[in-house]
Amino acid sequence: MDRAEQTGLGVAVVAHAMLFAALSLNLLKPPELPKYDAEPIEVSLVDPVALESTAPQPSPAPAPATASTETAPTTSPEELAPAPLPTIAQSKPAPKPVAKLAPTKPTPNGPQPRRKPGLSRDILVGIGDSPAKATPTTSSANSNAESVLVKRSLSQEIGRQLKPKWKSPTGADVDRLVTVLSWDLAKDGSLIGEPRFVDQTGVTPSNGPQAKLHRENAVKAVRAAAPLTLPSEYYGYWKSVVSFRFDKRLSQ
Amino acid sequence: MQALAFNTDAATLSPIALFLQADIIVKIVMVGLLLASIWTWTIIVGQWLKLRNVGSETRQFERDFKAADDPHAFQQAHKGSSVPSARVMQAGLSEWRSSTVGRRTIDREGTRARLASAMGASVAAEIDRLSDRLNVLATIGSVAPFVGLFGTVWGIMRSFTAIAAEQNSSLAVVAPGIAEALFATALGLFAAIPAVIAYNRFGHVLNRLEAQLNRFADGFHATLSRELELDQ
Repeated sequence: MDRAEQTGLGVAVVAHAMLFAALSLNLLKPPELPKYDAEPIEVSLVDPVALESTAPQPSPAPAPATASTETAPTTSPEELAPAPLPTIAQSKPAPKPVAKLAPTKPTPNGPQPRRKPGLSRDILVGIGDSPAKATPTTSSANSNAESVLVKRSLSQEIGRQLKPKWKSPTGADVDRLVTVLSWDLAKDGSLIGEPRFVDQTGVTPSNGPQAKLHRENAVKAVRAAAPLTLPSEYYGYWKSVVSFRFDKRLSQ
Repeated sequence: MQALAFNTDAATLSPIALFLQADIIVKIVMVGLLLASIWTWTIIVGQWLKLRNVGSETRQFERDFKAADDPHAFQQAHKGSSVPSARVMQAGLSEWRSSTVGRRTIDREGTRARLASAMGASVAAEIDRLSDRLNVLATIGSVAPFVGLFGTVWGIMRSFTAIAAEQNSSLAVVAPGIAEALFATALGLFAAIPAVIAYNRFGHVLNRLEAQLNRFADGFHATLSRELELDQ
């Protein structure tokens, strides 16, 4: 090794030492992320379902209101004939009161020959949608719809409370795994017994190793989230949570 | 926010941390590659200084040689010089002297051939002496990436085994092992890239120097053979 190479060795060792010192001391670290003044807020994504959506109940309110106003003109027999003509030309809410009136009013007052042309129309309209049939179906549908909506809202709420505790395992095709659990809740929202495993779907050879972990994590999430805070007036609905699905969507 | 801060910490490039986390085999590979890199730069810097001196000295010597009146006096002045063209001249002159001095009949053709081979051998010896370290650069340039790749493959195999043992394939478990394994390839490339560039560069410089020495030897050979004819 001659003099030039000794110089080279010195230069090389010093340069390497400097480079590694620079890397170790983070002198070459990437630019830092910008810091925000405002504290980050937690955002949870919930489907736009709320109790307000129980409001639209199409028929019952408008029907009696228009009926009461219509009773005034029908008292005079002369106006009885012209009255149905515009109602046919008009949109739906108008025919209903006429149909309702048809069985009650015409029989006691109003001469028969005069009413004949109007009567046939009234009958036709009455067949179209009879209020007698419509009201019971809507009322039962309402109670059904309400319970469905309460269940959905409760399910959303349970999902919202489980979400932070639910950690899906990662790996190939884990998105497809769905674990279904059932569990019972006491009135204060605490867990009664253990969550019961109901079903698991979407197991493929590639995500097989994760399936067990998926299931364990689901049980863990339920235990960690208890006691759940749910409205006590609906305890009947959430007494036992049946077939709650743990899937990719819940973890998003 | 805490997770974010942790991530930026983990993303920094600390070779010491990466080295300390690595497997023993990967550590050996990394140390070897680091030494290879230091050796490469030693050769690059040393060779660069040497060739720069040799280039300027050779040009200076040839300028002086053309300006000199008496080749023998000039030779005396440059006896023991380490400049390649001076050594070529020494070889030519000593061969000329041993072929001519003290002889009654001079075999001109034989002397010319001996002069040519003596100076050619001298040129080849000078180039060999200068290109001594280039084979090291060539070896490091071609082998270091493979050595680094070996370290990486070994490290990735090891981290996959760790993943299988933990039964958890989340990125947080996989990433550090892969990063430290890839560091071996990075070191291999870090050593190999300068070595390859320097090898090509020095090869080019030495080729030029060899051509220059050959031209000088040819010119000196022409001068000596002319003198052989004059001696008659």
